[in-house]
Amino acid sequence: MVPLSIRGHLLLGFVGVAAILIVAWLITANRLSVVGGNDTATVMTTDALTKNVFARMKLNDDEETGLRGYLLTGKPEFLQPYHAARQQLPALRQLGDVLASQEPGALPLQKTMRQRAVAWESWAQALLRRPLPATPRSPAVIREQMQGKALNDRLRTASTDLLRLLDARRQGHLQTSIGTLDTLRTWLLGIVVAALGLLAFAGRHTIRAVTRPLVQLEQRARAIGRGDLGNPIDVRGPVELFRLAEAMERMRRQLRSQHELATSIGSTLQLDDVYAAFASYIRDMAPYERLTLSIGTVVDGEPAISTVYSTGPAIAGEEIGQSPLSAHSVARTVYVTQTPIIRDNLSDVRPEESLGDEQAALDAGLRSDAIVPLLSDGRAIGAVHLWSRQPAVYSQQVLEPIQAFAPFVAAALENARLYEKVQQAAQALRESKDLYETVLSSLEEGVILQYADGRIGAANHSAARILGTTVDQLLGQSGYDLQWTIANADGPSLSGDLHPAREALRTGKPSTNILMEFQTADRGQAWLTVNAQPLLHDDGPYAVVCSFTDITVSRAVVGALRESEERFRNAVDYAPIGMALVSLDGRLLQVNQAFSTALGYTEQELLTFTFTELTHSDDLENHLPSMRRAVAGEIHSYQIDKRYIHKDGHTVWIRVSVSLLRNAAGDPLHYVAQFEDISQRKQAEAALVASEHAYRELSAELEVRVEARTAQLEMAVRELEAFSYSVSHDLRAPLRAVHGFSRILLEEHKQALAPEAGRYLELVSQEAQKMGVLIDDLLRFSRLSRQPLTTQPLFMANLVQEVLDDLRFDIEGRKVEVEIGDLPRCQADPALLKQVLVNLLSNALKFTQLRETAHITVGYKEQNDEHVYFVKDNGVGFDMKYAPKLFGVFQRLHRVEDYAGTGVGLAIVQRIVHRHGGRIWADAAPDEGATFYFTLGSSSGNA
Amino acid sequence: METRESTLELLLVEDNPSDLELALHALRKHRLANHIKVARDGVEALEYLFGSSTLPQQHVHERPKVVLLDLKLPLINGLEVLARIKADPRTQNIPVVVLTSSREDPDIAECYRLGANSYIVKPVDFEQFSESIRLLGLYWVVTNQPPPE
Repeated sequence: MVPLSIRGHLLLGFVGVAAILIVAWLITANRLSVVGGNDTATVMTTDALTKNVFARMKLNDDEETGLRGYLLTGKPEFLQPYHAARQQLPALRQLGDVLASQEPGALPLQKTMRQRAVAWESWAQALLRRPLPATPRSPAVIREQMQGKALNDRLRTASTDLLRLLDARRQGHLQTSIGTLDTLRTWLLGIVVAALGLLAFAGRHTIRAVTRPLVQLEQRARAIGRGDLGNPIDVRGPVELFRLAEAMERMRRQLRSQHELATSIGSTLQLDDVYAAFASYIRDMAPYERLTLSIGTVVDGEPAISTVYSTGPAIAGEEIGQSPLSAHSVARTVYVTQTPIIRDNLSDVRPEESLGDEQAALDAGLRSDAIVPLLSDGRAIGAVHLWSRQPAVYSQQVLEPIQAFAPFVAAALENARLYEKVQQAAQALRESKDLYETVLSSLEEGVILQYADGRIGAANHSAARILGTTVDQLLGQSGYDLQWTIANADGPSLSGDLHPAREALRTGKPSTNILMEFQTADRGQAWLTVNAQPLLHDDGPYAVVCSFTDITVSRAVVGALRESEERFRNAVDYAPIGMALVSLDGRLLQVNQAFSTALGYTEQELLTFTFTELTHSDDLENHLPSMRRAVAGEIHSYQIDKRYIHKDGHTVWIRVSVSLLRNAAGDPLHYVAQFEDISQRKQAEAALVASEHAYRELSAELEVRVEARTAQLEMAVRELEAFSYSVSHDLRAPLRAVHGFSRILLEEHKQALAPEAGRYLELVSQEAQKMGVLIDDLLRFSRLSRQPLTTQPLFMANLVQEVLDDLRFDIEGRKVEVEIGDLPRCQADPALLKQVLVNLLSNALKFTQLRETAHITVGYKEQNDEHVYFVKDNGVGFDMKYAPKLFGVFQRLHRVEDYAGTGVGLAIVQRIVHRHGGRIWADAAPDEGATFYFTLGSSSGNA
Repeated sequence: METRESTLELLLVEDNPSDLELALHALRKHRLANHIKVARDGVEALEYLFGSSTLPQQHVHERPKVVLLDLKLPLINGLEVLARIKADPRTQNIPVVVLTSSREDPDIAECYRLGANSYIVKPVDFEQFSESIRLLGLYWVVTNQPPPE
């Protein structure tokens, strides 16, 4: 239904009422005319006739009076009224006829009255035509006059009758009118009541149509006032109220969006969340297909614009990211004008107004756009660019709420930026704290921070270690509580006040390298050097940082050093190898006994020599390069074998180890040389060279022999292959013959044979068959070493299942429970690995055949980095002392009658496992089942 | 063994007398021995088929429905016989079933390469051997539709 305006409602009401009233009036009028029965004309006819009769009666009186006067006096003047009346009367009578004809019942009376009037007049005329009697009072005259009087009386009677009739008629008219008036009053009352009722109804309708939505709007306005922004305002009513409701709904949505935006901005410090919330807010205000949000910033002192958020289809060539304001045409325009730009149709932008981005936007399917500056405190902080696929979507009115919210966004951005700075500061603080803690904890030195009141504020692990306690304990106590016996280096105990920490706190000056002694609980007496550095406020020291080093060991070392120096000197002197201190120019400064002995001189004699003088002339140059490199600092020491000349003149082979002593500044001071007599070693070396020569010859010979052996071996392998082939042919052929002819005999010549002979023949054929199987097994076994290995990743579990399917005839009719564990994938030759599983599983089935229920487990475990698979059964098992025989060819641990088989199966298994680089072993006990373990070498596992 | 009045059905090339007898026994037993020619070595087999073992053949003597060929033959071995049969357009359509003692034979692959139609290991077990012969005869002689002449 089309909503009406309030005026429309009123108009409709009144038009309705008027229409109803008119209808009512028409009905009433119709009713009145029906009820009334007489109309105005009727009433007027009656009145007119009455007046006519009266007039005629008066004229008649005039006639009669005039006549009588004449008659009495005889004077003709008296006849004048008579003649006047006589002239008027015909017309009146004429009118009376007409009126009487319209008045029911009056016509006969009228006629009578007329006739009588005429009669009288005829009498009067007749009288007048005669001369006046001379004797007026004669009886004849009187008689005649009496006759006229009778005629006139009759006329009067007729007049009276007519008047009486007319009077009655007027009475009737009155009655009718009174009745009509009563009816009219009743109807009027009814109409008034109806009109009032209708008016009330129309008024109520109009009022309700206006007030109800007003009340609803008022309620909704109150609800919004209370903060209920969630429910949409959907009020129907007159157009004005409908528009009011729509306006309120827009306001509510805006409020809600602003509320949501404010909430989300208030609840997040993440800039991206703020941008996203703002974009979503804008969507509520103004629909868009694409939106970019740019925020002003400063790069290298230049104003710049950074596109921080965008959504919707990208536009080619759009300036995304950070760019200087001067390069960003769109943003610059908005920044300068600070007013929104609305382009209703991007294809109609005039060239002089172009921002250069229209075509790209059109290419992206966008038709119109709006660029809204975000102003905060009169300053543009950024801009929102909206695009729509529809033309003319944006108007100033639509964009206002977006602008209105700019200050909130500015505040949120500021918050987020501050938060980021705080985060960075916190991070920096954390890092600095980490650094400080790391440094502190990595220090070998003990460090303790102590406040003026004695509390320990910080301590590192070295401090705790040196003091023989823990950091927690240190932090929990006052430094002065520690039971330290403080002493000077060599003197008596220090008083507590002289503790360097206290000293520093009191004086505000640092103390350094104070030597202290203290008693630790676990290590006894310890020595520390302590530094104390006061931390100063304006009003003096408030804390002190003590760092200290445990020098107990160093002190002991220094003491020991003095002793060891003595010992060292003795050691050098009596060392078994020669030692010498040599000056840089080669003079011997100091030598020990061993050196003297080696060269046959006394110490005193040697000190007069230079190195060169003692050296064999052929070796003089040998050590010069090394010496130079040592002096240059390239090497610390060197070793050289060279010959010296003994005092008695013979050559001595000596290995010299030379190192260079330097002073603290790094300048070379002396050489220290060690001498080792290697004359005997040199002789041995000569012998070795000779023997090596012999060895080389021998090994060359061996190589030839190895090659020959290899060739022989290869030949043997080939021979073995040929042997296998011929075995398969040549051994099987006779077996076939033996078996074949035995069968033929048994089947076709049974009658000719003695029963015993039949049995023997049966045995012959069985044995031949068995030998065939043996040969086949043996060949398969030998083939294993020749067959190339082709490995691939395998699902062991699938393979096991396959094998069990193959062995189903061995399982049928038995109770066998097979458990397959979680087997990892492995890398192996599928055919060969299957053979392994067939042999192990068929063994397991075979040796559990006497069990009521055979339990067989195929499992896996990791053991010492090996991937171990195993097949376990609850069969008859075996004694482990036979284990070494298990894997031999034709080795059997059970009798053939008990358990069939050729004794090749496990040998084949072992061969295959070995070929995969793995190993196989077993674990068993008689009657307690057996477990066979195998690995597949490095190729197994989770390949 | 050869009967002139009817087409040769089977050429059996076998040198080992025991195997030969067993094979013939099995064929007889299954009533497949009516039209059999036996060759005892490669030369005999080729001579029979081509009239000569060495010369390029002038004519093809007979076209058996199937050749049962042992590989290990004196003089000219089975592989060569097979190669010659399969190399000659006139005989290459004759199905050749290779019989051998062992699955160890390195020649299996070579046989198939040369165009052997089947390869059968003679089992030690006579019943199995007999059954193999029966199935073989049944298939190649009775069931299989020989190529047109």
